[in-house]
Amino acid sequence: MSERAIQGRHPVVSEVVEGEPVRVGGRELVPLVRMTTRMQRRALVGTRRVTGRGRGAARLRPIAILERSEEGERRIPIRDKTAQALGGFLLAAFIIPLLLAVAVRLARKE
Amino acid sequence: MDKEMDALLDGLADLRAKANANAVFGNPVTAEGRTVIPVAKVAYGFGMGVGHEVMVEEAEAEAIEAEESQEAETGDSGGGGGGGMMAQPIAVVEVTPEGTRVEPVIDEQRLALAGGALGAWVAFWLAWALVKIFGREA
Repeated sequence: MSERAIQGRHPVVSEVVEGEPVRVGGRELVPLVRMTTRMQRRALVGTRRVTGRGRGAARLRPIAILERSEEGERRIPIRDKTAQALGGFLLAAFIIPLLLAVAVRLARKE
Repeated sequence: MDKEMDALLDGLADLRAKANANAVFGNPVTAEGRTVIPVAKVAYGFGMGVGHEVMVEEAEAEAIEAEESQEAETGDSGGGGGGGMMAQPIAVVEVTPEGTRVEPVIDEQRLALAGGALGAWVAFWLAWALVKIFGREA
């Protein structure tokens, strides 16, 4: 019995893409989205069995809006305030114990 | 089995087709001279696996390897798959005659939970520091 494995693993691909424009009141709004994707697939071909599996994931995060009007083009950034606040909490969770450890060491030296 | 696999493949193809840049913008809603467009970050995931066992005699197996014959008696087969999608609103785009602005959407419940966890973490380390500093002197 012979078997041959075929597999493909695509690296993580991240790129900024433009979505379909939305026309509202004389303005055209074009979403700018960062798209991060990853795909993986594997197949086993043999005389007794054939198997295959695949998986993929995609993450779409809006980063800005392009506003096109008679006045020109303007880029309006979109920020995830919740994620920024959670990032600040995580940073504080690392920094505060470090500062307290330094304070304890300084207090012991005295 | 074929029907189930076709249904699974159709569902995954539908999920894959929706994983594009247009999924982050919702449908515009216009009221009182203002247009509001919800904006969300979206994540998709999918996976599937199939297997097919070919039941052949040993002699036929060798013949298949030698002659690449198509005559074989099919055996059991199976497969499965799944997928999911998550969308989280992060902002709202407001278009008025005066201009366009982006209003962030804050998940207060998530921030409250994270703030509570951070408070407990800081309280733990503060108590540890106080014990280390004043506990020895006592």
